Amino acid sequence: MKLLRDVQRFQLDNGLTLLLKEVHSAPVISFWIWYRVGSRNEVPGITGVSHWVEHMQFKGSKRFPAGTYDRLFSHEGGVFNAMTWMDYTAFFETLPADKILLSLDVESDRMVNSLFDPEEVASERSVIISERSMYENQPPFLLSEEVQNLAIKAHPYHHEVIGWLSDLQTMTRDDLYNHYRRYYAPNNAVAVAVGDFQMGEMVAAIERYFGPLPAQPLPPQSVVQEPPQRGERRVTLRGAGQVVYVNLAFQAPPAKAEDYLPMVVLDGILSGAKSVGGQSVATGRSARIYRSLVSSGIAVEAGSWFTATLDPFLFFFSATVAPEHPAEEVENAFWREIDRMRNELVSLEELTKVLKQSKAQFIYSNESVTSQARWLGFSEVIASTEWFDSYLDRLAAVTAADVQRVAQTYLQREKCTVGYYLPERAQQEETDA
Amino acid sequence: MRESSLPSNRDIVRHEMDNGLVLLVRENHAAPTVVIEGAIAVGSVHEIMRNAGLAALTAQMLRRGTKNYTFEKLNETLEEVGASIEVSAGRRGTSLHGMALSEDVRLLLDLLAEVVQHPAFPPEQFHIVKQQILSQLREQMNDTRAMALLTLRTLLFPFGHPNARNILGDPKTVSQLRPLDVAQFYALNFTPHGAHLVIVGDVKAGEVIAMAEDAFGSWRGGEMTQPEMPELLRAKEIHRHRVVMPDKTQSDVILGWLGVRRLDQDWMAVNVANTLLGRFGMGGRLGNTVREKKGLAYYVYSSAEAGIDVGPWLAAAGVAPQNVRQTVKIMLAEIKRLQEEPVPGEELADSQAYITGTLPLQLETNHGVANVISNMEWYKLGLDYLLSYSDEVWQVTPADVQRVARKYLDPDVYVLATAGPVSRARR
Repeated sequence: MKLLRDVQRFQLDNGLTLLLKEVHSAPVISFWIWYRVGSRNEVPGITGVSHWVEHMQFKGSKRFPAGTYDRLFSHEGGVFNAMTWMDYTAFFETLPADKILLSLDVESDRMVNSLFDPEEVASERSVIISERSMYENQPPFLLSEEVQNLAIKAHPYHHEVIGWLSDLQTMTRDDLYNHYRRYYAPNNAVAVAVGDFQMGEMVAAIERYFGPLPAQPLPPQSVVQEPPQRGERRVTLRGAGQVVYVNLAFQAPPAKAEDYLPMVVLDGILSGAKSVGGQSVATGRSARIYRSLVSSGIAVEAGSWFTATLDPFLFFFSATVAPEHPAEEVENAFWREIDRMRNELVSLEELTKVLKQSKAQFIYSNESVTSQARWLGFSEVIASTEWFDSYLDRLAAVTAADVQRVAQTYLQREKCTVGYYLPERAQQEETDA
Repeated sequence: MRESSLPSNRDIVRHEMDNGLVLLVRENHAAPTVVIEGAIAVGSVHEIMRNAGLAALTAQMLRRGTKNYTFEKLNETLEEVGASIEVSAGRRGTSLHGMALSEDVRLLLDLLAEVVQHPAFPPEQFHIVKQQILSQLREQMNDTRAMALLTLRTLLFPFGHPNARNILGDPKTVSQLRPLDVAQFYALNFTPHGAHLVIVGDVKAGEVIAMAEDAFGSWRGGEMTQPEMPELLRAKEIHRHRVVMPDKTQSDVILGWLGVRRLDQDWMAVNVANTLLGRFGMGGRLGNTVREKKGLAYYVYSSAEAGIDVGPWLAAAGVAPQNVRQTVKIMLAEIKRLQEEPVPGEELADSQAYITGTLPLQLETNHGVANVISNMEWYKLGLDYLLSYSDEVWQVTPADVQRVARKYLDPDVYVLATAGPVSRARR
């Protein structure tokens, strides 16, 4: 199955990469701009700056004052959003096909003209802090943040995308603006359009809006390499609630590494093939972790998680422990599954199932133009569109021996970070009429 | 959207089976997939109070093993072809969700029929599902957003009203449920009468109807009665309740009033007014003041839930504990403004354009289409409903918005639920 069929690639003189695909099943177009910047490019003191800059991109330019973007897009019946991750920052609008120039107009304008008005920075500071507070209210976030911090010491993947509270409190308008000026440039961006347009017209329109923006020198990429983990690391959090959570994390290969796809298969065998995005189905209930942890009644939810990244990140195991069961029991059950992966070859049936599930997930996720555009852009930024195109073929070539090899290489006890969340306090109530 | 591409009588095939089950099919050959959305007319409203949570537990148990399939075999059969079946309970209905590659549509229908008609309710699965629900309830009790919402419902609706309760039940009622309760609840309430299945995707209507006839033809059951609801009385004074959760970083605050039913005359005006108040753009007028101008919250929104029964019309935000009072004050001021000042025509048009304009995006996927058709069938809106939908949206006037804001919202009499830590400032 070739996923890149009908996708055309162009590059403007200023370095902006275009990935375009005509889809005429509905009169809509999804337009995305991806910047090669995220928490990976942050240094201590300004953690969270990439995400905050993304928020500021909705706070106005001279032509589009604060509050006008959402009004413009919503008025045209569009949906819009933005997302910041470790390796990228992305903005998109999906609009009725005849309104798409609005998206090109806004995105080209805010690539260079956002104001970062000090008053807007001040009001957004408390919004961002409130966003962090919302996450902190959730024990699973507290635990996974702690585990991530412990598992990654030196690389910027150490900190969460949202950033540290103290940095959010002290970062200045100029910190934000400098970050914006440094990374928001056509030669550091990818434009993706999928939908009901004619190729020639779309290229011309993008050229018209983005062509005049100048390329600029880009800062050198971070060269920080995470040192190898030399021993097991553990953390126990205590907090409110009545539910126990367990995490295990292992340093894992990046998207472009040879070991990446065997790890994807390993993840699929442990907890089902995941969607690359968009519409998906749950596939984990016939997989190993569910059977041994959830069906046995020791966890109410359990799974593994692995994602494509530019630099080595983590392979996660997580579980919500069933009432009356200790965290250790669930951790031990994870280790039994890990040991099985390391000691025995997986069956051909399991490999075949993961491949079939992955194919089905790809087909589901291609249903909407928004998710097609999303995965084109994501692949280009994380690896390459060829990586995306050959994904299923390369997945089919993964052998049982490959899966065993990566299990033995990455899932070692002395390379594990283990986290428990143990509850300790309850709440009180008050009423008045 | 071009009118011709809206799902309507022209391209939705509706077929009533002898047993009462209604099939609705819309072909879409854009991708080799199929989605099934179904509803059965049984929900938490059919439970007795003592058994709160039984409908949710029963819905989950349907999927946990049948006469011919153990839970493991059902999972294996579905997952090996990348298909899925989920069942979940609501207040008035139980929803069925199915998805598969279109080449597997017969398998999907057969397994759905198996799940709906021949559940075995194995006792060991009963124990596991019960533990999972109890665990979910415990997680809710440590979640400020969930606690504020649950609290709001108990303040707004009288004891015993289906909208007052947590669909999952509560730890006490769920703990005492037995396998026999599930089997009895199923036997009494699950019937093809009042149920429907919407099938959307790369299928031929005639073929898929024949398959569904094969799969569901033997399903038998009597007419369902929908219970009468206790009368709703509007509050005469402010009711507040605060759930103190000391370890939390921020508070969830929700203001609520009694809203409308989906079939009430006022529904469309309320829908438009609510969009303007707390949805359009980044959370409507509430988003504009609470988030954009004051920077008090990351999320702030309003919602006007409307079903067969009256739902809550609420305004909600997550804020720092010391900002709860200020946020409530601002929200109430926005409610008052909506009542007192006619909405400028341009602002109203923005919300109307948003509601009508996002329709094509909702209809882009098989899921979206199936959900819309399922709604049309559930509320008997007629299969041509979407053809007049835009007109109905655009007929709402500034006077209508003002009228429904005055009728349903009240800045002086409201229900206020908060959940979170006690403020560091005096509270």
